[in-house]
Amino acid sequence: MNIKINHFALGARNIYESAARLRKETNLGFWTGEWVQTTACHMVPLGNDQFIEVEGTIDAHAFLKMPKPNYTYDALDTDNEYNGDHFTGLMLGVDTLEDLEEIGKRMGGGVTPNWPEPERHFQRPDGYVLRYQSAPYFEPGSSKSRPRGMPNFYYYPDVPGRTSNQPVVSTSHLVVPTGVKWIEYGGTAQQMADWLGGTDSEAYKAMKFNGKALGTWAICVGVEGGDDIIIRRPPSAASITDDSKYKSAF
Amino acid sequence: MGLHIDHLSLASPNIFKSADALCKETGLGYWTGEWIRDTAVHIVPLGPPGNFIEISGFIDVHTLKNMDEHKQWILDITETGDHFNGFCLGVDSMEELEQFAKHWNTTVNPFNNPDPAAHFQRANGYILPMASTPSGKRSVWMKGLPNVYFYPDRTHHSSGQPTHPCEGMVRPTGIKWVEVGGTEEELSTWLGVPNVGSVLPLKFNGKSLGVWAVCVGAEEHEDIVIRRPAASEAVPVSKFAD
Repeated sequence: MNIKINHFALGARNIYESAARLRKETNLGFWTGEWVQTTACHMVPLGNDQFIEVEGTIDAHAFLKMPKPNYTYDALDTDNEYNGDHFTGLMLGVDTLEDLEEIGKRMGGGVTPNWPEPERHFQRPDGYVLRYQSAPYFEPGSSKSRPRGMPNFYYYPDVPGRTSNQPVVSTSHLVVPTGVKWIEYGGTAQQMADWLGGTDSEAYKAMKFNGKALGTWAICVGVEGGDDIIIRRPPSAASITDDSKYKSAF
Repeated sequence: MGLHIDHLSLASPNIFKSADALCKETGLGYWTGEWIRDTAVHIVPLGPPGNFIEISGFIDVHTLKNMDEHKQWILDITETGDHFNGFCLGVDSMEELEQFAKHWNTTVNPFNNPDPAAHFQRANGYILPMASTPSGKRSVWMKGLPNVYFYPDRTHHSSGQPTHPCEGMVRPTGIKWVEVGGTEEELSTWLGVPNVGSVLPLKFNGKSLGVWAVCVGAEEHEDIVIRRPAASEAVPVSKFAD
């Protein structure tokens, strides 16, 4: 089984502002219009089937009704030099559903069902529904949950429809990314090796560990004919030092 | 064109859901990526001579920490779903716009404000120059009244940008009529335009002020009537009478 880096969630107070600012900083393009329930994303393809989803809540009423305190909201509410941007998730990818099931089982859970309802999946303005399954999945009501700050795993059956492979909005000075070269992650190498079940995966080999709070701290992206780009943002856990009052993994 | 209907604003609790639902209901496509401060719009072009619906809503929930009268109004009118909250007329020149400003004893919001945050911005980085009147702290939309716009750059007008493709898509041919609340006399008085019903394709329903429906023509398709309540049904304009 090969485990790869699939995508990163970059939480933003305002995904429109955040994606435009990231483009000014890096010349990486993005596309718009994907959403799931009360969250929308601007997508930043990184090459090599990888991407950043700049994500945020776009339903004020739903937000007001959400249980509080809200871990992600509170992290994004912490001021920093990136207008509150925080890396909120690292998502790894596997090539087959069987691989995903094996991971889910190893972690004492399973994989998310292939929900039939479109609204449980990301949707695009052209009506496309992006199907995926992820692990580990624990039945609602079970006492188990994924440790906050550790990556989860995804399987996407439709490769041409993948988020990383959609065209970005055209503008000047865009660069052509060639994929993630390395990422800086919190915690230790041992923690991650235990989580991934070994050290031989492509994902593990791309990770550098800084011993700080868990989560993504930086991404290095290669560029055709240009210098590598380093995108640095703190992870949520850097701003939520005491997470005991938050229930869910997010 | 002289005084004309430019666009309608449809306030939404979730612009992604609302645009998707409207597209499925009517076959009208939309494009994404335009925003201003804490609000984004999905744009539904309605055809020539250049009309559109902007489906607008908050995309920055952190803005609610600093509540003000306008934000509260947006929240209140979207509590029960989509409501038409803006009736936006257009003119062809700054001179005409300034005439309206003079009529209202106010000023023009300039199109060349150097602060990008004062303008709609698009995903490709384009900043939309747009002048409007009346100016003032409280939008006349909250009273169910139209304001007037002038766009110096019609080539980038929101109505003329390509939409995402969608299933069962229709090609709109323009607004046939707009149903508004109140009476022709009330609107004529507000605009300083006698018999405004003979200038603009309007139907007056006598209900509370604001837009209640729009009828759009479509190529090889029946007319499309989009009906949503006016914002004034959710929050009476009398709340803003002071």
